[in-house]
Amino acid sequence: MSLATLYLWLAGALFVMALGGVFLCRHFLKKIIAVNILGASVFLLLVSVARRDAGEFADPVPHAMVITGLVVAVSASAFALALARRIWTKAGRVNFEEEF
Amino acid sequence: MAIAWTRLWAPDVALAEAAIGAGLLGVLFFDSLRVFHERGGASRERKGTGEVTPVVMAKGWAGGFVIALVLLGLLVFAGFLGRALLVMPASGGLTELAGKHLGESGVEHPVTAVLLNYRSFDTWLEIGVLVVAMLGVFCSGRLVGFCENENGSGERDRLLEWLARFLVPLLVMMAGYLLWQGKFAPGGAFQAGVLLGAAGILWHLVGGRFLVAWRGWGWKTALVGGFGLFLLHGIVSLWWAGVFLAYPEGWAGTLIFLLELGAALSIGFALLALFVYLHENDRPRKTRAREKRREVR
Repeated sequence: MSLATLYLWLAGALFVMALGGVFLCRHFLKKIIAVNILGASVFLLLVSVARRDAGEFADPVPHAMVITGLVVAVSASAFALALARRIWTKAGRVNFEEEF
Repeated sequence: MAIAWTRLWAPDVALAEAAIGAGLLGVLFFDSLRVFHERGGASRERKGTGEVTPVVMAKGWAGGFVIALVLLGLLVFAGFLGRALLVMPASGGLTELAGKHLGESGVEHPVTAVLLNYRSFDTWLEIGVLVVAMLGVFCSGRLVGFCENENGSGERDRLLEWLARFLVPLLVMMAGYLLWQGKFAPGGAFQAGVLLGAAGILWHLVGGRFLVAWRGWGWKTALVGGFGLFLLHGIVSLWWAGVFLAYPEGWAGTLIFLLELGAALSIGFALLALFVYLHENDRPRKTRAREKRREVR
C-alpha cells in the first residue's frame, strides 16, 4: 500500500467521522468545526489523488483547487461564526434545540 | 494537516494550510469561544449558558434511537465510501498536460501556473467569494466603525507588544518573499495574503492604529482591488484578444505578478477585516452591559 493510498483511506475515515460530528454535535461552534474537518478530508482526498498521479511533480491542478478551497472554506466559516455569534448575542442560544 | 501535505508533495498547500488552517481559523475560533463563554450580555431571557455542550445528549429512548440510527447510517455510508475508493480508476491526471505548457505560462512553478494562468477564472471568483463572505459578515452584525480600536485604551500586554514589534515586520517581509517566490517555487498570492492578514491582526490586537489611516474609501478599495484587477484584466483581454482572462505572449509573467500582488493585498485585507469586524462587534457590548448593571444598582 503506497503512501497516497494510505492517505486516501485516511481521508475517507476522516470524512465519515466529520459527518458524524455534523449530525451529532449540538453546539454551533462544534458543528462549524466539524464542517471544517469535513472540508479538510475532501482536500486530503484531492491531494492524495494528486500524489498518486505524480510524474516529475505532483499533479498541480488538485493543489490549486485545494488552495482555492482553503480560502473559500475560511470565508464560509467566518460567515458561519458571525451568524452563530449573532444568534448567541441576540437570542442567547447555542444550538437548534427546542423550537426546531 | 500541514505535515500531511508536505508528505504528499504539496508544499504550496502546506504553506497555505499552516497559515490559514492553523493560524487564522484558530484565531477566529478562539475569539468565538471567548464570546460564547462570556456570561451576561444583551439578552435577558437567556436559555442556558454559552458553555460548549457535550457531543451527544440522549433524551430517553427516542434520543438514543436517533443517535443509533445516525451511527448506523454513517457505517453504511462508510461502506459505500470505501467501495468507491476501491474502484476509483487511476487516470493519470493532468500532470503531463500541466507540465507541457509550463514554458508558455510565464511562470516556472506548476501550481502558480494553474492558479494564475490555466485556471485563473477560479482564482478570480474565489477572491469574489471572499469579498461576498465579508459582506455577509458585515451584514450580520451592527454597524461599527471599522477603525474603532479600543484595545489601545485598556491594559497593555507587554509580551504581546514585544512579540508584535518583532513579528509584524517579519511577517510582512515573509509575505513579500512568498509573493515573489511564487513564480518559481512554492508560495504565491494566497500564502502571502494570509501572512499579511495575520500581521494586521497581530497589529490590531496590540492596539495598532494604522487602520485609522485607511478610513473611508481606502480600505474598501484595497478589499475589492484584487477582484477588480482581475475583472479589468479580463475585460481588457476580452476586448484585445477575444478571450476572457487571456495573457498576451511574453507579458504573462509580468501580468501574473501584478495580479498576484493585487490578490494578495485583497486577501490580506479581507481576512483582516473579517477578524477585526467580528472582534470589535462583540467588544462594545461588554461595556454597555457593565453600564446597565451600574444603573440597576
